[in-house]
Amino acid sequence: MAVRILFKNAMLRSGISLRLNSLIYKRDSSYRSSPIAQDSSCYAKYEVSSSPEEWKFVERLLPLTTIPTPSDRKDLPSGWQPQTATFGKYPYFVHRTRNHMLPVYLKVSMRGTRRITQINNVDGNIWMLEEAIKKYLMRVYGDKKIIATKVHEVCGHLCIHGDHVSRVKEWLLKKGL
Amino acid sequence: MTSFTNKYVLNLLRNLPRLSISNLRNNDGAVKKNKRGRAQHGGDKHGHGNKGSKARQNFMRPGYETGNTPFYMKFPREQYYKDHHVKRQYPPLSLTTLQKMIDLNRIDISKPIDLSVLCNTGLYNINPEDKHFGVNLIDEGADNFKAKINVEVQWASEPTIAAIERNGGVITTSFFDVNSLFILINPKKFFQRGEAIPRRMIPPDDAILYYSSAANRGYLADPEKISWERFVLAQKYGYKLPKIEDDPDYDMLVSRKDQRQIFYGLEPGWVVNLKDKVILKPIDPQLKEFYRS
Amino acid sequence: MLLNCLAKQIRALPSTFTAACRLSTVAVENSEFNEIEEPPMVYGGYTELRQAWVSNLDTIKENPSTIIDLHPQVFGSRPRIDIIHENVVWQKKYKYVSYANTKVTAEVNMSSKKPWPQKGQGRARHGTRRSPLFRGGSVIHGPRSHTTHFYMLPFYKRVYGLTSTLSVKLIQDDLHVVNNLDIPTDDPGYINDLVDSRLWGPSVLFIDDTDTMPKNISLALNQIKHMNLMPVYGLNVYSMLKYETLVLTVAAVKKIQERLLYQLHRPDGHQATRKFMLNKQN
Repeated sequence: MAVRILFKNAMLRSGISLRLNSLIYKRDSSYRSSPIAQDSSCYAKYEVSSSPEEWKFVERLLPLTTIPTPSDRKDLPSGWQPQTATFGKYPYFVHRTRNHMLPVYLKVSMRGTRRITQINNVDGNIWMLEEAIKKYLMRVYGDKKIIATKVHEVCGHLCIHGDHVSRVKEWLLKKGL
Repeated sequence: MTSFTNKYVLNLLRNLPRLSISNLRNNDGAVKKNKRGRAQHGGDKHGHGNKGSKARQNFMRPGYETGNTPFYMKFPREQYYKDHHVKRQYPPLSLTTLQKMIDLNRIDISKPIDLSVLCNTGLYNINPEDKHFGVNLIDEGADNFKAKINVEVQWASEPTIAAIERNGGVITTSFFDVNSLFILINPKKFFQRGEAIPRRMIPPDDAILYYSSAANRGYLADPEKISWERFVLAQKYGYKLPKIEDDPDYDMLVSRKDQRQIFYGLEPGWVVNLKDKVILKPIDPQLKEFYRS
Repeated sequence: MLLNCLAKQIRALPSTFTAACRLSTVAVENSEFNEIEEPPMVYGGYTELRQAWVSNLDTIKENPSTIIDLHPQVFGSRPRIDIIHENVVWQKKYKYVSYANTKVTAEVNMSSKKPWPQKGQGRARHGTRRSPLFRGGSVIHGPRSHTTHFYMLPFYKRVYGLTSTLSVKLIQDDLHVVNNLDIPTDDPGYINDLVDSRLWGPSVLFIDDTDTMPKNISLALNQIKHMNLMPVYGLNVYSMLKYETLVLTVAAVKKIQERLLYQLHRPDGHQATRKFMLNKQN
């Protein structure tokens, strides 16, 4: 994104002319259109510094290549809890997302009238997970709501009709998933 | 290892023929073939009726009412959003998200946090091309915020400032012009260009008051006034103001950028060479003075 | 559901081979063999690793020496046949350029003279013999030369295509890991005997981590058209399905895992999913 730097102050405190300003900031738009480099005496002189304290400031600015592993604490202020259930504990398993969050989402469609809770990354016996969640939600709501579910075995996701995101997340965290 | 991920599904494949190019298939309904209707249903005039401009792909412009004043021109305009596309925008970042980022080790709170740190997590993004001028830290989740941080944002409201200072942290609002912003949100890309770090520009006329006021913790404000405002805010929100002088992280909490500095610890005029891991600094006294002004 | 997708006659796999493979997964807990030193593979929280024997190409008879841990997200991921299909279709189509061409009215090699006067003839009115109504006239909406079919499959579909295919190959016993590609002679007969005795499929794809391959295997496979060498950067879904057997070296396995795990666990996913631009591929 090439942005031209505009210099509003024509004169500096010490009185350096405008020509020097424009020379400092001349930036060619592409490698091909830029002139071939000349002898180094034509350009500003510099000193090379490889001090490790200064380089620490540079390294701080570079992004990480991988998502860091989270802590094992269960009492974090944001309410996030790590996954404690081991694979094989239940007949099913719900993997966390790459950001270590619960894969429970609310899908809103039909101009807000259709709300579906979707649980992704389901491994193992997805039908048993469906039964378990349905049983839990029916116990919570009694006869007031119909809990309709859709199981997509190939993709590994489970959809529940209605907005039950917080309850499903609670249930999953209780199980340690 | 009796059980492994995707065991059912993978074991099904053990008993099926070898997967090859000739026995692949997409999911039903994944690809919809656009088939032109033929014969009685869907054919003949293909839903365009008889003659007219609609059948001949020669439409009148939308809203045109064959000459009389169209509906959309009958009433006077009320320009509620006039020049909205020109105004500065500060996309919000809630304190809940910030707390989550801290809890999941995406942000290192032992160092000062600024926009570059937030963008490097990959969880928050700014697009200066859409007139985004920085991050606006909003007070959603202020009650559950429990982290002692030194954060530099571009806009913050009173409850947010209170939430951060209550936990012994420090918040500063500072301005970045468009060029500095592009550099700050992707420092690696900028260093790869091989250009000297430029000086940050002073805020424009309509922003300078905001960034000079101590109530907003502006970077141009008088530090004494800021410490007075901290005291006042603690009284207003009813918490005991923690003494940061006694804090072991005092140096980190108090570290601030100069008004012309874009990055912590790196001065304008320096060229960072990522490949050789060195920094090139100008020697010329005129240049040095220029970059220090 | 999957059975419906691939409903064909069940083909019996050689029983000794499958028995050997199944035994390997059970014998792991009591293995006396030393495992190859690698960093713990619980990346992403996956503790249930997939494993494979590491054998050799030095002798015709298989000598499995060690066991290598394979990350479940790369070699044990959900085998999405639909994603594999989309990858194969993409690989075929994105390079394809259709050169079919038909002439438009202006291009037809005929005079633009009005065939007969407007009125008086008792015939239909026409302005040009080139029109699509006429025999020998132009074609309406016909193909126009150099129609490119280039498109980029979404980034993560390509990543999951690779992981799904590797998982399918491993579970169907078509993936073998060898320590390196060193063979004693450059005689193609040696490789043919090796492949026959180990019941590897007629076509084999050998994958190493770099593109410089050992001398003997390069000379030998030069004369065998259905067995090929490929570096890791050439790994693609179409080739993996085309060749019946996939043979990876340990170095190749490590590199593939490292690259795919990087893509699956990178924090800047939005950079990867940006619109594809040929001059901005990083």
